[in-house]
Amino acid sequence: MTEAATTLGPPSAPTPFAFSEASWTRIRKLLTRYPQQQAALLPVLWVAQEQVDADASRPRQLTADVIKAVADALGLAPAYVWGVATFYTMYFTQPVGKHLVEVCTSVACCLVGGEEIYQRLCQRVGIDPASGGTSADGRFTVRRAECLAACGYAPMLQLDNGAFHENLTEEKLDALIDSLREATA
Amino acid sequence: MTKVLTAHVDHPDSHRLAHYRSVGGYEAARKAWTSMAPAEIIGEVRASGLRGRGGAGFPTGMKWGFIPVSSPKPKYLVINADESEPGTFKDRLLIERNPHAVLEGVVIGARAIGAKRAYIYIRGEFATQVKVLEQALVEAEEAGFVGPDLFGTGEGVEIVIHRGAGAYICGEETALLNSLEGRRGYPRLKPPFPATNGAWDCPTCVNNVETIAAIPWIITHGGAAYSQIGVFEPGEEGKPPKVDSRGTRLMCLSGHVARPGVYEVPLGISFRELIEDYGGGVWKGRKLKAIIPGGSSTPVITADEAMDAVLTYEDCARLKTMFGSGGLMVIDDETCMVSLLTVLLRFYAHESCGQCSPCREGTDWLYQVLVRIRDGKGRPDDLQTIRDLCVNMEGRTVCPLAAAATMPTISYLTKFLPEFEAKVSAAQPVGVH
Ligand SMILES: Cc1cc2nc3c(=O)[nH]c(=O)nc-3n(C[C@H](O)[C@H](O)[C@H](O)COP(=O)(O)O)c2cc1C
Ligand code: SF4
Ligand code: FES
Repeated sequence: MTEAATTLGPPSAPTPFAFSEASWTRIRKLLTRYPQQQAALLPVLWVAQEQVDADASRPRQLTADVIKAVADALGLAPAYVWGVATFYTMYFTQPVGKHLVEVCTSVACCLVGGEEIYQRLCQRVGIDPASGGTSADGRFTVRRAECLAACGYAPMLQLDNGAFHENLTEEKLDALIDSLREATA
Repeated sequence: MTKVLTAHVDHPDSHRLAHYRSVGGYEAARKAWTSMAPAEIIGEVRASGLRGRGGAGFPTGMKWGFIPVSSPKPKYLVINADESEPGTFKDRLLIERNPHAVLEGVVIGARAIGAKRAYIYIRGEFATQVKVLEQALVEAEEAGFVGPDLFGTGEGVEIVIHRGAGAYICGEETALLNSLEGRRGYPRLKPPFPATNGAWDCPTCVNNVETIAAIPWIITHGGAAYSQIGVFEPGEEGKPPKVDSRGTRLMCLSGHVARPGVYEVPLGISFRELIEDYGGGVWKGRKLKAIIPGGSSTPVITADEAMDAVLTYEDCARLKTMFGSGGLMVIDDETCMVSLLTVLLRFYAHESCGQCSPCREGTDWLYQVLVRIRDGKGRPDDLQTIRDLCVNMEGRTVCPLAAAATMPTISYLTKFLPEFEAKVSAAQPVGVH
């Protein structure tokens, strides 16, 4: 409850979120694919999150104004939308740094060094491995992930809800961190 | 050796329509739509002996037969591409390298059960894979292999790809349906079953990606040909078969194995052959300690047990484990089972949807107790606490996730008890409790 109350607070962007024309086109198409409007909720949350993510002026988070826009688009209550969004791990219901790095520490990865990769990553970017979280400079959010269906190519991590980086070694991890640092310097 | 699912996946364009067509792609769909009645299609699938590859191993033909033939409500085919069981990465291979086989299977399955629309529910983390599947769908639609009018019949099927957003439990079929309906992914109480009351309360069939991808081959070559692969021993008069493990399966090898990866093998080969011949044996020249046969939810078996066993549903049952999802994890003799079980239980504590108290609290307690044992702070009665927790969780919940945590837990405690006892007895006193 407290989590919802704080995060659903005042919008943190200067201008409230509104779906772009391109996003509306996607949403209208989505609505034709389900017998009930509510079923488009997960896809519409994805549309919203992708628009938020592409807009450098906005925080990387589904703020209250974003949730409201999704709710209005589908005729749902914002509290309902929030309730659904918080069930899933991939929606940015918490603030996320410039890069979201999720290391798989499920069983197959841990058999071949997934935990060590996670620990090293946390140490390199200055995050407490016990909790994960966002680095002080806001560049990295690090989390443990559960199995990402790459067990044969372990250890692995997923970057920004997208590409898998597989068969990781300390060297590969360090090179990745360096390249991300450069990209956001 | 016959490959049903992966014969062409090494070709660089195996995911493109042109390549799929060049190896006979969509001819099975044409056959099913233009020259077979729905009941005939189901008959072939029944004859094939194909059992669901999502985990439970339920006969696919029988499942299709449960969908009412005439229904005032629309019927849906839903494909489970949530693949999240630790150790499993086979559906991903099919989506990346053979997406048209999945789509063609859907087109045939839709005709068999009379669905006008099918949903492919794909886990949200498959951001790259979803693009491959979407591209394949566009290709198939443009070529007229998916859509409202198939092969001049005036009827057809629309396929919708629906992306999840991160939640293991959405692989459980009723949680998946709730998620598809735009809800939290809470499993539903059964009955009613999806066959009569599934998506939007309509008749719904949920099939795994690997299951549906085998359908085109079965329609092309016939159910009888498929049932020749693997092992089958009929039962006595009026009894179910003694062994019913037909076809091929994608086995995912991971952990301490020299050549991890996905291998398509006929059912009935030995675990030894799979691990040694296909997987190159245990890595670093070490010895085998144990294997997890079918994803983290399946009870562990020792090296001795594994080396005498074959890949059938029946042999897995004999060893009080399950064939599961095909996610086989190899564990070498330098592995600490206490640490392994701790990692395994973190998964269930994280993934419990929270709907039932025994599971929500129990998975977390199990994890906490294991952490304490692993860290050398275990108490003498902790092993009994674990057993009590398991008894109080299993069978008292809406879905099998609680059992998916307790069954393996008990198996580690039973088969590797001395390791756990040593940890607990070596523990330092931590004050008065
Ligand atoms: C906790 C839990 C997780 C599951 N995860 C998956 C999954 O990721 N993929 C899958 O195909 N089946 C999964 N299943 C099994 C499905 O509920 C369902 O039985 C299956 O999709 C049916 O398809 P099949 O008959 O083709 O195997 C899971 C079941 C449970 C209880
Ligand atoms: S058993 Fe666990 S995962 Fe399944 S419905 Fe209950 S709380 Fe959710
Ligand atoms: S256990 Fe890490 S990807 Fe499966």
